[in-house]
Amino acid sequence: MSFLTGPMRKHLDGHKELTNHEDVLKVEAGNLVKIPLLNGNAPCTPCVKENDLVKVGTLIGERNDHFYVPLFSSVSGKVVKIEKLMSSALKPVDHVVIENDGKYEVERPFEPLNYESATREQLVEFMKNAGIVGCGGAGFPTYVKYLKPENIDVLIINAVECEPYITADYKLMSENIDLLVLGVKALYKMSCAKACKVAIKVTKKDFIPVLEKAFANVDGVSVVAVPDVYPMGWERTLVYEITKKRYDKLPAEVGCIVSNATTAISFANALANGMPIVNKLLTVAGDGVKKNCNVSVRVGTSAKEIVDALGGYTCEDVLLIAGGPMMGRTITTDAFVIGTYNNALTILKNKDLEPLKCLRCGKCSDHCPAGLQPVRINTANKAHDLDTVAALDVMSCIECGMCTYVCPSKINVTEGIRQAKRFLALKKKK
Amino acid sequence: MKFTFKPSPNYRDSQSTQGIMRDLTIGLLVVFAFSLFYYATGENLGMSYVLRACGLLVTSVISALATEAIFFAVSKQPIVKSIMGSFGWVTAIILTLMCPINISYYALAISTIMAIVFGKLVFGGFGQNIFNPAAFGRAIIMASFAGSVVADFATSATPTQSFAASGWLMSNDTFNSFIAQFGGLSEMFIGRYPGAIGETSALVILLVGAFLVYRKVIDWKVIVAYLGTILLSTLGIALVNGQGMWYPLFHLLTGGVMFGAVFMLTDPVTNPTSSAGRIIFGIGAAFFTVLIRIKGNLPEGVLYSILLMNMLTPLIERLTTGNQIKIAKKNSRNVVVIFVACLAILVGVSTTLEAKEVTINTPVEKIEGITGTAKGFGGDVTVTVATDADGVITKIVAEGANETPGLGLDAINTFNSEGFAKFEGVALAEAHFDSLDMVTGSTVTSKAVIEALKQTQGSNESSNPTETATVEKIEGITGTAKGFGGDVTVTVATDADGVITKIVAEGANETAGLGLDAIDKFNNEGFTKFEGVALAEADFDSLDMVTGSTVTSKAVIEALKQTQGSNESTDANDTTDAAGESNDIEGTAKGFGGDIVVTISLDAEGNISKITAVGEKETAGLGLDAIEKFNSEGFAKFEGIALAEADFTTLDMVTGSTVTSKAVIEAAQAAQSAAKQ
Repeated sequence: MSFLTGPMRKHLDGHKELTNHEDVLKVEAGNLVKIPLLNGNAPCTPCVKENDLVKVGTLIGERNDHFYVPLFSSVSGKVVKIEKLMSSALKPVDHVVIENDGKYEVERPFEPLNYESATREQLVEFMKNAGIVGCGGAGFPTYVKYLKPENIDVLIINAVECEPYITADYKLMSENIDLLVLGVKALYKMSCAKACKVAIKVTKKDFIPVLEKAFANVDGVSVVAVPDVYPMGWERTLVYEITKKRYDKLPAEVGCIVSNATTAISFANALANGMPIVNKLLTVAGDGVKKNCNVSVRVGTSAKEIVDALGGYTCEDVLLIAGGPMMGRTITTDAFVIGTYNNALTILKNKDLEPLKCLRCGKCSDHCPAGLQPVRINTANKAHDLDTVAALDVMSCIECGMCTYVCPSKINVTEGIRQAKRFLALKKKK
Repeated sequence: MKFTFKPSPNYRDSQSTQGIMRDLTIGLLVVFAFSLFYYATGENLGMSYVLRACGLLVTSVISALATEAIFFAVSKQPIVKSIMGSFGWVTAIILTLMCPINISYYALAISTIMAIVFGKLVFGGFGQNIFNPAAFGRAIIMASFAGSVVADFATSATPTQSFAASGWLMSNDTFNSFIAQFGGLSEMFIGRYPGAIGETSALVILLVGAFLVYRKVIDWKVIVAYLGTILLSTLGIALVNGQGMWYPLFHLLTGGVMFGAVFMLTDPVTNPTSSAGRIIFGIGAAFFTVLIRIKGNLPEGVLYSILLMNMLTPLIERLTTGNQIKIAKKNSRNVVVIFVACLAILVGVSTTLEAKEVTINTPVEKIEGITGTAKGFGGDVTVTVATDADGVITKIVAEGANETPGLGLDAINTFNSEGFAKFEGVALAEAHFDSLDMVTGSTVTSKAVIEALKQTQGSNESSNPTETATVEKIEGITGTAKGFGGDVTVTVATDADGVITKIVAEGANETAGLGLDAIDKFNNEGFTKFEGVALAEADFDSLDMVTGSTVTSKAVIEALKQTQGSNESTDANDTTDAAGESNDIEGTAKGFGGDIVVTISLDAEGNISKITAVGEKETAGLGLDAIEKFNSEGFAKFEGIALAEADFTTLDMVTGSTVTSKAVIEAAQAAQSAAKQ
């Protein structure tokens, strides 16, 4: 089929060697820890007020719309205030500001659970209360996927990590292989799937045997090596790679549930130790920061504190990206803090590119993993032809950035698509 | 500290548009380098051709860059930056490679300027143009500057033109002798044959294409869809029309197919952006290429197929609008439907094809007389006017081997067979040559013939001694073989014991300075060593070849060997009736594929009892059928008539086999006149 659609994916230089073999650096939280009251795009309501004392694991906020997601304190100390600050989503968001007493006293919000004796429903409820969110970047509440698994064939554990520079998943997995096995077993049980596949890039040659050995005694779980292409870690691309099936809205339509490997580890940590996500492993890499490595930080630590611990910036004008360079946003301040959903900071020297005119080479259409035609969407958008924009199915765009990446004329194609999406959304509202 | 905002992604592939255009330029220059090599080493070519090709390339590139510079200066854009982002030189190189070597500098310069301005800049510049600018420029040349050629650079007819003149059908035998003129299909694949500067070498173009595909500069899908559709559709045409497997190969190798596939159809600006769209684009271009070839007035369809598909690109884009994953089924259905429809139409249309006679090195009748020469379309046109003692025209023969088959050559044939007849019997000085009926579609050739005719009036007897006139005429056994420019005839005179007394070679169409010199050399020196040797024992292979004229030398040797093979038998043909030993008289004439021999049997009173024609080399299904028809029916009406009184011109011609029919009549007449003697 790629004969008629183009490859819809592309190998890109991952720069994984920068951080792959560096030891994880533990960065201590500062005096003030600011925890964003945010889950995905949804704000959370605070459960604490000024001068409340909190410990590690104290419930400080909740998302209470159609989903329930609790937020926990990552340090012990006193709540100073609730303040609107710029988040890594580039929006002003309420943050709970906590004065860190440095003692890290623990208050378990829930007790550990033996997944073997627990029922499926108990596990889902446990996951919900533990505030486990997808660690692939979007922060989607994980329990939702497991509420009513029907006709699920495959549970896919996504350990692909296709964003360039990022090695946090790999590092976390290699250091917590027991937790990974535990988490995968628990998720497998919750999913009622016939099989479970742990997908990892074929280029992780040293790590694949380790995984295979770890899962050797677990029935139904196998390790699948997938090509080193972008965006292999995107749900749709990964499901297609493994099942050769396309779905409309959710992977469950073709009998799949996809969960991130880091999510599995976080869940296992909750099951075994009764701890929610209060620590994050982050990859900090790029030519804009002096030392490239993975860091372990408390949720609520600011980017500035992390960069300072790594020796600072290498130049005066940088792109500070929350996430990888493909999908991560550039943030205009390093005061923003790390939330439960962050997995990387990419810091690049700011270089200006001179765009040329579009030569209609169609590389963006050939490589779009969603099967769109970015060049035509942009042409139609420039002509304010929103009917054509809609006919070109622009809303299926996930802004993976592939079109800008491949554009030989160095045009910001993705940004044009975003604009087209906004225009179309506005028109639909009217 | 500055934290710059830039929308994601902030990561770029290393490939750039400048890099793409650099690779493309390198690829085009490699193709150009091959043509330079061909011009430098090819027979009858040389350094002047190399310089000409370079001159043309430089002319075109400078025209393109200068045009853009002026345009950007006038429209107040930064000149150097805009030129570097407009890539006009690529258009210029492609356009040059599509032109024949003898195009005039000014025609190329003007069409380059038109291509840049009206093909590209007025649409909004690079990336906005609807038509491939180079194809646009080439179309301007075809429409406006077809005759704007320099005569110093003789270009012989290309395989496409010659094959088009045959109606895109040929018998296998005819094709073999046809393709031999260009060195066979393998030579066509390598590219050493006459054609546009950069279009001939399929090998080099495909190698460069593979490099560009590897570098992700061009999309292989367009090339595969285009060449694949041409291959399959012409294969279908070949099967339906009884053509050999050479037919699809010839279609692929001839003309601009390979060049168009690799360098023009893949032009990203003017082809659809989606993969499915590009496949449809390639199929459509192949359809138009083959359709224009087999049914259009033009010999070649590649250029217009590209322009037509450029025009259809927005339509194809519309056909493939939507999420490519969600409409994948629709896309594949469309591709299959379009492909099958194109194939079916082409094969269906091909059933109406009719093979036309082609003049493959047809030897022109040689007469002695006053000659005149004028520039025709492809080179010199020579006219020979024979007069009797009173200065009255007895016969006129025109010759112009380089004229276009199907057009100029046909016109010359028409003049020879019909047009000149009205001047016969008129005093040369009084002949009003302007009254010659022009042949429509071949004005240039017609005018050249008239001019040459007028020269014979002016020059009168003075210009009589030509190069050919110097050949000593001797009686003897003759042999003929294909030389470089036409037939080379060798006459070997022997004494009563079969010992060679003299050998004379003749080959008026050989190249002056090369082949002609070689023939002179043979006549003066080379042949002497065979004199005194018995013809049957002469080892003609030992003839010293003349360097630089291998083809002519080989032809002479071959012709010499023929005289050994034919030996007395050809002799006997001429002598039989004179000796009166037999009642069978034979006459021979050139048919479509070779000699046609007509044997007339006479009864005791000298009346015709039977006529039989034999011509094994005629085209099966056409000429051969005609001969059979003559034998079974046509000749019957002459039986019982005195040979001397038979008017063979009343023989009913067989439609579709005019050449064969004429040859049969001629052969019969030859027999008649032989009988008279």
